[in-house]
Amino acid sequence: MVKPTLVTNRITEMRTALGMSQGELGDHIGVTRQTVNAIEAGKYSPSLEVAFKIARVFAVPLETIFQYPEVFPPARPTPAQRQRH
Amino acid sequence: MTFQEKSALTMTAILVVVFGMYFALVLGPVAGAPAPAREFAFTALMILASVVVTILAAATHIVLAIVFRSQVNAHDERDRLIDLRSTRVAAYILAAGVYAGIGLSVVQVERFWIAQALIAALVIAEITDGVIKVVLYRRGV
Repeated sequence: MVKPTLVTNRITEMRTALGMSQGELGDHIGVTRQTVNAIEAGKYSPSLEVAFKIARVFAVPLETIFQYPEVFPPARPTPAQRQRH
Repeated sequence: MTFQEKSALTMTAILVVVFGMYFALVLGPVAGAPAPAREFAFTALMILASVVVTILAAATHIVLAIVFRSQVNAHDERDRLIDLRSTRVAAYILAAGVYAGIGLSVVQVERFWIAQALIAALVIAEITDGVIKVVLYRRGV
C-alpha cells in the first residue's frame, strides 16, 4: 500500500530522548495524542504551522525533524538554481 | 482511536443495521402490498427507522462521552481534514441520488420508488461518509 505521505520525520527519536509522551507533545502543539502517533507513523503530514510548533518544542530547525526525499528532480532549473549561475 | 473515529464507527453500524432492516422490509413484503397499504407502511417504517436511529445515536454517544470523557473535545486539524474529505465524497453520492430521484419523477415512476431512491441516497451517503472516515483514520491521510 502506498504511504499517504513521503515526508519522514525523527519525532519519535527526539521525543523519547526528552522523555516526553505522545500526549504531552500533543498538548504542547495543540493536537491529539492520536495525531502525534499518525505523524510519527507517517500516516499524516502535519500543517506547516504544526510542523513549526514541533520544531519549536525540540528547539531545532524544521529540516532537522522533517525530511523529504529527492524523488522529483525539477525538469527546469529552479529560480534559486538560476540565480546561482 | 479518536472520539471522532469511534463516533463514525458507531453511526455507520447503527445506520447499516437499522436501515438494513428498513430496506429488507420495504423492498420485500411492503413493496408487494397494494398501493394505499404500501404508502402507509413505508411512511410508518421510515418514521420509525429515523426515530430509532436518533435514539440509538444519542444513547451511544452519551455512553462514549462518559467512557472517553477526556477525548470528547479533542478535535484537531487531522480530524477536520478527514471530515472534509469524507463529506466531499458523501456529497457527490447524495447529489447523484437526488438526480436519480428527479429522473424517476420525470419518467413518472410511483412516489413509493422515488421516496426509496431518495432515502437510499441519504443512507448510502451517510454510510460512505463513516466508512471513508474510518479508512482515513486507519490508513492515513
